[in-house]
Amino acid sequence: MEKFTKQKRARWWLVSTLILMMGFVLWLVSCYPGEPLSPSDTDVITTFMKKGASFADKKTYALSDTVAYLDEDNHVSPLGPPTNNYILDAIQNNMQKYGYNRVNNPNDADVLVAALATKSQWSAGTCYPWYWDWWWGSPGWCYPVSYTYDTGTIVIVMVDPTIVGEKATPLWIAAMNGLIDNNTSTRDRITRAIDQAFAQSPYLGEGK
Amino acid sequence: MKKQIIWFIGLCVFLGFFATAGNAQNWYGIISYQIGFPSGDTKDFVDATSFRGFGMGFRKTLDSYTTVGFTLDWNVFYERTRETVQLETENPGAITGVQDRYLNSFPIMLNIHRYFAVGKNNKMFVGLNGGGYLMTQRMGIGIFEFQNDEWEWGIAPEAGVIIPISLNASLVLTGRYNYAFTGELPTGAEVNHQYWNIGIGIAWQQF
Repeated sequence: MEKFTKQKRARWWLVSTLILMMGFVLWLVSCYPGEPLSPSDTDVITTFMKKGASFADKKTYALSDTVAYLDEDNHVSPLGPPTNNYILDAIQNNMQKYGYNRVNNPNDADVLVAALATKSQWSAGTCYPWYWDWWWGSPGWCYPVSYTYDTGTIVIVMVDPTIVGEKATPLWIAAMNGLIDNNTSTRDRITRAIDQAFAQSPYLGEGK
Repeated sequence: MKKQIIWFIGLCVFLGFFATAGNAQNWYGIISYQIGFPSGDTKDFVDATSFRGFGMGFRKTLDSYTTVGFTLDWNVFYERTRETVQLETENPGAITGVQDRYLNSFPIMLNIHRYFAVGKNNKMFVGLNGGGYLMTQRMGIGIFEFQNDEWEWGIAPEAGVIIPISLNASLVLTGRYNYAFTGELPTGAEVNHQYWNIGIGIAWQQF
């Protein structure tokens, strides 16, 4: 009897410890911790340079006066102010920092720089399952949720005008993408993104 | 993923009930809280200490100094970073953005341990775990996400101390080095995941 009591006590001690540990685990351990992202946190800046390209001999550039806007029907039109100006000002400031001189005549430029902007709307959805139904063997049901969000993309392209034909690939491409949010400063986000694109491309300033 | 977690926890509870029914002189169960320290390739992917770790193990005595058993663990590594990642593409590139990097490691291993008396009642042990890791990796950047779940074979040598605290329980302190022979990041790069563990736990029944 004494042995049985000790075993029973040990069993309940174990069960209690397990339950406490599981509760601790569920509270402390989660697969994907972390804080939510703000719209500006979704900004992604990607840059590529042409393999083997040299920028040391590139001193001058010509910049298009307008940013092309590609709409959802693939029609191209000029992007109006003020966003157009935000983009062009940021490009010009960074090119100047890297030692490039702007020229008005594209025929006099070592490189041509142009920018493109576009906006996309995305739809997504999920269905949150009801676990207890699943545990008891029924097919269960889920709570459907759908949502849409807009993203904006800016692409900057730098090309060598002397290279034509099949080899006429861009020397440098920068693409910036992020969630569009009416509550955040578009100018700040665009300027920060373009500044970062140039900052992660230090080879643009070589030889100047 | 949530269903996998529920099954994992349910399995641990289920096996825990069986542990109480076992012969007290033959086998033992251990549950522990673990802290993980990434190293090597794991540190390059997630450079942050993991305070989210849990382990459960069962050991059966072969003789007075040796046990064999198995272990089920779970360690969560997470880091939010804004560092620029260089892209090893044909045309060199780089990408910058807020990145959430996750590594959920589920070691599932068999083990063998050897025990040495230290003092009157305490024991020290050394052992080797062998088996594999279910690695669930996720890398989110901006609105984009890359995920890679795979099984990676590996080993985990460990050492520790057992301190009896009652007739039916012991305090267990462990240190373990986890090493996976194979692996791949969500970006496709081949890696060998490796990290250190320290654990503090309870063993029911005395060794």
